[in-house]
Amino acid sequence: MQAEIKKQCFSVASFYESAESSYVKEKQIIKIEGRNVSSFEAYSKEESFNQLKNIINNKISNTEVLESIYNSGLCGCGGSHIPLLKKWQAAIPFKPEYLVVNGLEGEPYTYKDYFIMLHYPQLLIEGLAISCRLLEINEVYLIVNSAYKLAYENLSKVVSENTNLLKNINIHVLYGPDPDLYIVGEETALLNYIEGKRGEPRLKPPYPHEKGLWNKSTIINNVETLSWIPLLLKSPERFKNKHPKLVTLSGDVKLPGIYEVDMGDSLERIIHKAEAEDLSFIEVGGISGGLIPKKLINVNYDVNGLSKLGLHVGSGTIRLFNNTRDPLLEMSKSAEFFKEESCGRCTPCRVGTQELLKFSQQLLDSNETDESISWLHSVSETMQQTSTCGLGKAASVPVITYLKHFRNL
Amino acid sequence: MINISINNQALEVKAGKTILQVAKKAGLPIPTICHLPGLESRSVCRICSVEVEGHNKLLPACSTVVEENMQIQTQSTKTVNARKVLMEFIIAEHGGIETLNTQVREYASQLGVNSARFYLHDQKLKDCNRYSSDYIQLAQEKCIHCDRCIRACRDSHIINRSHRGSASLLTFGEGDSLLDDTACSSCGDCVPVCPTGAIYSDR
Ligand code: SF4
Ligand code: SF4
Ligand code: FES
Repeated sequence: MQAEIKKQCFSVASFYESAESSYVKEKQIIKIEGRNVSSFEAYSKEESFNQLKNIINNKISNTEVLESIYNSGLCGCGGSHIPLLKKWQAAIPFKPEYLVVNGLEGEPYTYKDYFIMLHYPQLLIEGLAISCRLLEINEVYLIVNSAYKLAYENLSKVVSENTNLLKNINIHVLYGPDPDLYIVGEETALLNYIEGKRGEPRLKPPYPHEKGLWNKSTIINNVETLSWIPLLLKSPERFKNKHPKLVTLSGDVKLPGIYEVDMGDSLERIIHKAEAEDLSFIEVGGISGGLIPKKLINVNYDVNGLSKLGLHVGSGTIRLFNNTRDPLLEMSKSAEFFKEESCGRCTPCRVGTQELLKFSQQLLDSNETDESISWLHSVSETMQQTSTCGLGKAASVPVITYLKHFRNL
Repeated sequence: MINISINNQALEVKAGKTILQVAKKAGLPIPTICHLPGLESRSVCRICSVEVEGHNKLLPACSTVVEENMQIQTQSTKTVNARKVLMEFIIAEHGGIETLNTQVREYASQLGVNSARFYLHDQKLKDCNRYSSDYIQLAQEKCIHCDRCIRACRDSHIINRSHRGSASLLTFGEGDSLLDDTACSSCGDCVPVCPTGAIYSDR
C-alpha cells in the first residue's frame, strides 16, 4: 500500500522531486529532548491503553469521555487552536469515514510531534483508537514525516503489538513525501497526497468533513491533539482552568527541546526555562510566525495575547536569537522560504511571495521607499484576503511584524 | 429561489448558482480570468474576489455558491484594492501587458492598472519549452498559471503544473515528458482558452 501510494505520487510530475534536503538532515541531527514534559513523563508504559480498555470494558461511557474532552477544552494543536469537539461535531452529520492523523510536522524548528511519536507512540495510538470509537470510524491514515524513521518504526510496532485492542480499526501508518515539501502539511494538500495526487491544497468549501478523502467525510487531526486524550482522561486535574501544550524551544539557548507549557502563561516565563543567552529577539509561531524584540516578551502566550502583536501560536514553535543576530536577516530567510514553498496554485501567493522577497531585498540594501512600503502593505493585505490556504495567508506575517516591531512602520 | 443582496440591491435568485452567475444576470459584471464557463472552477487567479458580509476574507465569486440572505459587495474599496494588486501580479508574472488577451487588458484598464513594478518571469523557465510538440508550443515564461489549459484538456494527465513556488512550471505527462510522448492527440483544445499566448500553435 505504502509503496503504491508513493509511486502514484511521484508520478505526478516532478512536484515531489527536490534537491538535497538540508531540512531532513537538520531534523535528524537535532536532539529531541523532552524537558519539563511532566504530563507525558507521568504516563508510564504499564499504563498504556488503560483508558482505551476502560472504554472497551464499559467502565467509562462514550458520553463520559466526550464530557471529559469538553471539560478539558482541548484544542487542535497543529495550528488551528479550534476546540477538538467543535471540529468533530461539525463532521458528525456527514458520518465521517476516515480519520487522518497529520504527523508531517513540516514547520521548520518544530519537533513536538516527533517527540511524541518517538517516545510516546502508544499515547498517540491510544488517542486515535479512542477517537475512532467515539466517531465510529474504522479507517485511519497516520502520515509520518519521512525523516522520522525511528518514530515510524515505533508507531508501527505499537500498532502490530496491540492488534487485539485495535481489532476494529484499520490503521495505515504511512510515510509522507520528502519532508522539504512544506505545503503537504496543509490538511487538504495532505488528502491529495494520500489520494496520489499533486499535493496542492484544495479549494474550501467543501471542507474535509464534508468531502475529504475520496470524497468521503474525513476528520483530520494533529498528532499532539490526539495524544492528549488519554492524558486528559487519566488526569483531568491537569486541565482544570489550564490548557497544557507542547512547544519547541530552540535557537540561542542552553537547553533547547520540547517543553510542556500552560497556554496563557507569559512568554517570558515560558522561555525562561530554556536559558537564553544575550536574548535580543524572538520568533513566535515558526517560520510563518512573527518576530518581536525582547522588550515585548511580557505578552500572554495564547491566541488572544499573541494576536495583539500580529503573532500566532502556530504549532508551538519558539526560536530565540541573541544579540549577534539580525532580525532583518531572519525575516528575509522566511521570505525566501515562502517563495520556494508556495505550492504555486494561486496567484496571490505564488506571485505575492516573490514580491515579499523583492521587498526584503530592498530592506537589506536599504533601498526601501515610502512607496514600496505602502505597496508591501497592499501586497500583504491582498495575500491575506485572497490566498487559498494558510500558507499564503500567513506568508507576510514575518515581514509585517518586522516592520511593526523593529521599524515602527 | 433565495433572497440575497448585491451592492445593497435586494435580489431573488436561483439556489445553487454562483455569485458570479447571479451578479452577471443582475447586470453587475465581475472580472474573471481563470474562470471559463463549462470548466470546473479552480479559483486560482482571485481577480473575481468579492466581499461577503460575515466573512473576514474575500471570496471568489466564480466558485462561491449563493446562500440565503447573503450580502455581497462587488465594488467595495477592499475588493477593488485587492483586484488592483492581483492585476499587477498577473502583469508582473506575464512580463508585460501588451500580449495579454483583449479581455484581460480591458479588465486591467477598468482597474486603472497598466504596468507592474517588478517583472518576475524567470528566463530559466524557457528551457522547459522544448518539451512542446510540433503542433502545440509553449512559451512558459508568459504563463500566469490560470490552469485553463489543464482543465480544457480532455485527459487530465497530459498538462500538469510541476515544481512549486516561483519555479512553478507547466509540464507534460509524467515528469518531464515530451508532449509527443503523452496521449496528446493534437486536438488543440488548450490553445484558444489561454489568455496569455503561453500555450500556442503556429499551424
Ligand atoms: S495559498 Fe499558496 S500554498 Fe496555498 S494554495 Fe495558494 S499558492 Fe498554494
Ligand atoms: S499556458 Fe495559458 S492557459 Fe495554461 S495555465 Fe498558462 S496562462 Fe493559463
Ligand atoms: S475568476 Fe474567480 S478566481 Fe479566477
